[in-house]
Amino acid sequence: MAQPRGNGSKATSKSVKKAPAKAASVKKAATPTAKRSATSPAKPRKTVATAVATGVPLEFEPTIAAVSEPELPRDEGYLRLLLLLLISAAFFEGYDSSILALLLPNIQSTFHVSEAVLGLTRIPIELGLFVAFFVTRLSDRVGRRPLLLWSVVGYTLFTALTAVSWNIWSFAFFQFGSRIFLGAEYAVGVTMIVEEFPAARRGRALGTLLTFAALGTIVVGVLLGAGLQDGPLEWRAFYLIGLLPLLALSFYRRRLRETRRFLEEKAKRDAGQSVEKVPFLEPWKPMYRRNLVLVGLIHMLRSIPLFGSTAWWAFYAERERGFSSGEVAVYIIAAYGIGCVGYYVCGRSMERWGRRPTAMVYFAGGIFFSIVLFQVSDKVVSFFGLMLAVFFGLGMGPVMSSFATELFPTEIRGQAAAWIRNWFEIAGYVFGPALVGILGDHSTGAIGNIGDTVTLLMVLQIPTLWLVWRYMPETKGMELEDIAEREVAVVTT
Amino acid sequence: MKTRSFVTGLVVCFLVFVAIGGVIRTLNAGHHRPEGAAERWLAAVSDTTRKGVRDDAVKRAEKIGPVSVAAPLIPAETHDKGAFPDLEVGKATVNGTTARVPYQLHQRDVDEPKVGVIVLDKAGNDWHVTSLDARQPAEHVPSEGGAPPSSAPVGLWVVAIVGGLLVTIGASALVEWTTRSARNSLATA
Repeated sequence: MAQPRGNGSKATSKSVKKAPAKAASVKKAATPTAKRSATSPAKPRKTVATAVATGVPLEFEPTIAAVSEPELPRDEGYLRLLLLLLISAAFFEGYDSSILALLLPNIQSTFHVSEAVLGLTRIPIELGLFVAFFVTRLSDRVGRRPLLLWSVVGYTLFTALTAVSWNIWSFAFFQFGSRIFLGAEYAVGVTMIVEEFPAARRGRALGTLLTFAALGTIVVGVLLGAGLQDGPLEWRAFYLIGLLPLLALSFYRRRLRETRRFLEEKAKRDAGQSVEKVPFLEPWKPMYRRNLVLVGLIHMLRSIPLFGSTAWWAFYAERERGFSSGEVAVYIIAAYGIGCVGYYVCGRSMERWGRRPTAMVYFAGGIFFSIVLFQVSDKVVSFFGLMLAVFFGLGMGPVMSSFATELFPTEIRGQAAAWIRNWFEIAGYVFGPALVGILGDHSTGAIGNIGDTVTLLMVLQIPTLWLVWRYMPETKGMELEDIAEREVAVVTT
Repeated sequence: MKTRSFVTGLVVCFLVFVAIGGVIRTLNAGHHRPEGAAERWLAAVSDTTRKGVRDDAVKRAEKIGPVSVAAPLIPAETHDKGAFPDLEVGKATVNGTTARVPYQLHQRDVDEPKVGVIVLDKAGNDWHVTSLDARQPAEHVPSEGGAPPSSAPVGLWVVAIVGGLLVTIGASALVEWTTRSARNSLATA
């Protein structure tokens, strides 16, 4: 059970709303140079290109307001095609992650390894997403289109190799490679949407992408319910199915064009104009350090138990609660259906009641229902526990994305979001599943029980309630510029 | 932030992770549960009917107990798939060097679950399957209302809550420190 990327559409709605105003001011500008000075200077624009390309997922989509409209709009047909093709990146992001989570017992059975070894292999696998951060940065140099196409090729290759893994370590290596390219593909896909879609439609386009990430998980659940894992190829068939649409997309993606903003930047480089680039450590400067650490800690403390629980729930349900594979599939499908509602309700709540109260309620709900899920044996209670754990635990993506973006000024927003995602939150991807596997190993684990291990890790989320209540500023109804001014004042006074 | 400070921070984080790893390794040391051995043996026995992995599965199972002991559990026809689509074990009853582990499993293409007890003997640190037996009244798996094979002791829950408080204090201190250090840096700039 993998976590779909958070919903950026609500979190960035303010940015989306602002964009037309910026576009209007652009139209008043007589020349491209004047246009830039009237809307956003060269530095932020480059930041946008860099930041979104550096592995910032949907949850942290940061820079809609900062991207001014290019000279030549894309026609409607091309934008539709672009969205259709990029949807695959989001879909397989959810699909691929879910295979690993939902078929853990089957993979364990094939490779004859303990829960501890399974947990350990998640470390190198998930580090692929960390490496993707650096690979994606190459798109600022070589272009979005070539990196997207090569990432599709790389992901396809490593997915095929995963299906023929001969032991757990070859499996881990191929999944590591797959994660690198999948992460890069996803990030470049988001970049292309941000750079190509008109400001007023970016939020909707990104929301569509996110929905397909959740759909990827649901499809795995449907295939699981259909018994694909019981076929002759067992769990390997799931990886091979993932190849078919990708091969088709590799062909159709030839119709993709390079983004106009990248071409503009490239032309400037070719002309010898220097383009200022935000330094790697810029978000750590005194002005932004407090919020970076605060938001980073909240993401890290949330992600360790969250990913520990999502990675092991299917295994826990089968081995510790006596669920059949079919029951697991039905539960997953239902839970993710409700989970999508959680995203929506969260987005509405944070606009209506504010970020802080929404976050507090969602954190409390996520902790409570996760504990219920991993402690009760009654299947009916488990069903509702899973639905509500997904609703609150995963559904809080929009408010997390608002924390990760709104508190930072435009010129470093993308870099800050990338730091939070690729350095702080990645700890959850890497260590959450590993900790549960090692401590919960039925034979040698200190706890010897997956359910109790996850529950104990949930304690880590309790400090997030305090951090949000005590330190997190409320940004409801504030313009991004006002927030930036206020945050500077907090540090300097 | 200077590169040197950043590298120092990275090294500190690395050391913290190493320390946590050391603590976990110490905590895990010395645990050899009969329930885990029984579960692995059943999983290996299930694989003995799977196409392509039979020989390896037999080796794995034989390390824990004779495959012949499991003969009553293996269904007549498995279509080259695992013998048990799902399995579950309950808490062991340990008496000296002998343990009884209740199990419940579904045989391939059979609706009715198969239940019973796996009997294991301890040799050194390891548990070995010796026979199958019928259940006694109090022997159940968790999905039937029985106790889980293992659970966190009460003390550990207390430790976890204290740990959560310490993390809260540490995180608050870190946020306060970053605020102070930022102010100092800006004041001296």
